[in-house]
Parts: sequence; structure tokens; C-alpha cells
Amino acid sequence: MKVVVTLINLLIAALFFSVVYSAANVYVQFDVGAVRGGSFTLNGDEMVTAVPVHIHNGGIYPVSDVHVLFTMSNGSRTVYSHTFTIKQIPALGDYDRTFLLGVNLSDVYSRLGAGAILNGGRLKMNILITGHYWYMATFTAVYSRSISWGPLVYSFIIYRNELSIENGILRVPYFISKIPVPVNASIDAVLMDDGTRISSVHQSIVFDHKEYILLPVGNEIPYLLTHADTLTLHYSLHIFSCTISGVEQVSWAPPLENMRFSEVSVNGTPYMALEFRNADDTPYHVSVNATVYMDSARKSLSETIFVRAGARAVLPIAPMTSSLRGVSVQITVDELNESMCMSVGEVTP
Amino acid sequence: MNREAHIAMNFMIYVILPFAGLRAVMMNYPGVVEPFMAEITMLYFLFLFVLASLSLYLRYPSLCTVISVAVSIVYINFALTSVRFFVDGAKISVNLSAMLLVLYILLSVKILVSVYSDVKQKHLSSSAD
Repeated sequence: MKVVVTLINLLIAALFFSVVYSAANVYVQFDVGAVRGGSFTLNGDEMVTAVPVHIHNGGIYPVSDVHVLFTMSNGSRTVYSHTFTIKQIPALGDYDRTFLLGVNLSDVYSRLGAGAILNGGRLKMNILITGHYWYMATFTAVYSRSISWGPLVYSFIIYRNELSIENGILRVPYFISKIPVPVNASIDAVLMDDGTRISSVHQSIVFDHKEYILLPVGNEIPYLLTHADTLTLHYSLHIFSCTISGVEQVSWAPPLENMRFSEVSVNGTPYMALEFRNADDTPYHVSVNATVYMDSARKSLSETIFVRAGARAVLPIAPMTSSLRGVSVQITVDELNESMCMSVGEVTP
Repeated sequence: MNREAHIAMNFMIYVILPFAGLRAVMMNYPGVVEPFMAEITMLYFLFLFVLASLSLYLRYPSLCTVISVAVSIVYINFALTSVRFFVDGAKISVNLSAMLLVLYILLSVKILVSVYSDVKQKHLSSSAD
């Protein structure tokens, strides 16, 4: 009987110390440097990074059913998770493997929210390993690493002072740069002037080039051609399933300014003239079609004048006599293909 | 086998072997067992040695077995809370409940065998009288 008791003692000691010893002799090493350093390669809209893992089982039992769970979370929100399974790591053996983590950007940003698209942030990467020794012990190891997550869109500029108008379209230049992954995005833009909706558009975004939001403003052209204004641009940028909204005050500088009828003297004779200034930094050909209304007749005048950038133009239209009743003019800026009309006095349509 | 030989064998099992094993673990894996834990472990084994030797002189050796089982249970639980499972930078938890269950079963068997041995011995002694 003493032999049996001794054998049981030995069995207990062997079991206890071997399992505890084995559990205490598992070494795991991760290299998350690539993730931290933002070293991702692109595969479609997936960002792929490599995490080399080295597991050394220094115990005397094999480690079975090892699950390696990678998660990335932003606070309490898990934005990525993937589990790799290792069937068995032999006793006194090593396991080396490079895990490839493919992060689908669409999934990630739909969970991170719109704020992360422009601002980035920090993510917590958890690596959870579970496994068991010979069904005697199960172990769980949790590694936490903090990684920086850069913004997807790192530059979004609306050139507020560089608006232009062409063919009835107000062109609002913008530049959006992003990390080099394929991203489909669109923008909804609404142009307002003093609370009045002037125009709206929905269009696709072109990244990494200076491009234009094109707003049709046909009815506003005569006004915008000659008047400065401060307009309000409400925009909603749609990327993945996120929407980034904002408001920009944009300054409109008209291409022609101080457009008015005036009186000038030509060889001592007073003339009614059309006067304006090219306020733009490019020269324009301005066509003027004028109709002069007199007591019993109408006279037409067509003239195209070349106005240098910043230059003032004065175009005599009709002598100021007692028979002059009124003048109407249609002014066309050829380069912009935009027209406006003005009249003074008694004008019959 | 006479008592002296038993004591010598117990000394080998409960003192020499654990000391050698513990020393090897502490030399090769310095972080696993802390010095305080090593002292407790050696005291535990010394106590087992004393009980095993004492049982040779008692009429009911199972009494020593029961005491050693109780001490073993206390020691095992203490040891499991003290052993550090060292993996760099990780939070480790090890669930040893399956192993503890097996250990408790073995300890119970040990008590039963010991008590049975005493009862049988007493029965044989009565028969001899």
C-alpha cells in the first residue's frame, strides 16, 4: 500500500509541476512595427499588413487548438477582427508565421465614422491567444498595442477666392488628396446667397487633382457678371458610407466691374457711353450689341472690344441729342460665353 | 524494507528530488518561481517528508496522509496564484481547473488507499490477537 501511495504522490507531483512548468514556458513574440509604422500594401480597397509571430512552446506538452484573434478597436467599437487557427504546436517546438491582416477600408470607415476620414486617430490592437495543454490547462494571453491610424483624406481645400463662371456654370475649385487607395466618393453641393438657394449639384469626386464643383447658375449670370458677392456653399462629401458636411463662405469677384452708362466727350460732342473695367487677371473680348432708341428710329451698333486685364473700357454708343430716348445693350464676354443686358431711358422691347 | 531504508527513500523523494528540480527551474527560468515561492515549496516538501517519516512510527499512518493532502491542497492553490506566466507585454490567464480536478481525484484516492491500508492492518492485527 505504501508503494501505491508513493506512486500517487509521484503522479500528483509530476502532473502538477509539468503542467505548471509547461504553461509558464510559452514565449510569444509579435512584431507589430509594420502596423505601427503604417506599412500597409494595397490590394484593391484592402490595406494589407504583415504581423510576424513567433511562438515557442518550451513546455513538455503540445499546445493544441491555438486561436490567434486580432482585433482593432476605436474605444469600444471594434473596427476589425480576424481569427487565425493553429492546430498544434509540438512540445519543445517553435511556430513561426507571418499573419497577413487585410483591412477592408469600407468596413473600417463605416465603423470608425466620418471623423476618422479627415482626422485619423489611434486604434487599439488586441491580440488574443487561446490554447490548451493536453486538456489539463487552457491559457489566454492578451496583448495590447496602440497604433496610429492616419486620415484617409488628409487635405480638403476649397479655393474660396478662385471661383469662375463659364457657360452658365459656376466653377468652384477644390483639391482633395487621400491615401493611395481606390475610393469612390461624391459630393452634394448647394449654393446659397443670402439664404436663397441658387443652385445645387451632385457629382463624383476626383481625388488628388485640382478639380471643380460645377454649379449651374444660369439665372444669376447677369448679376454675377458684374457684381461682387459672398456666397455660401453647403457641401456633403460622401465617402464609403460616411458623410462629411461643411459650409464655406466663398467670395465671388465679377469679371467686369463698374458697368454703367456714362457721358463722355468725343471731339467735343457729348456721347452716351458704356463704361466698365475688366477686374479679372485675364484679358477678355467683350462684344457689345447696342440698340439706340430715338424719336422715330432705332439704330443698332455692334462692337467687339479687347480689354486687357485690369483695364478700363469706355465705348461711346450714341451722341446725346434731344432725339435720344434710350439705349439697351447686350454685353457678351466671349471667353466666358456669358451675356448680360442693360438699358437706360425709354426702351421698347 | 526497514524503517531507515524507508526514511532514506522518503528523503530522496521529498527532499533531494524536489530541491534538484526546483534549483534547475530557477537556474534555467529565473522568472517563473520567485524566491519566496521556492522557500514555501521546499518547506512544503520538508513537511511531506516529516509526515511520511512520522507515518512509519504511527499506528494509523493514514492520519499523516490526510494531513499531507490538506497541506497539499493549500500549497497547490497558493502555488498557482504565485507562479508567474511570463510572456512579454501580455496579460496572461491560465485556467488549470481540469488539472486541479485530476489532482483532487488523485488526492482522494490517496486518502482512500491510506485509510483502507490502516483498516486492513488493524483487521490483520485483530486476527493475530
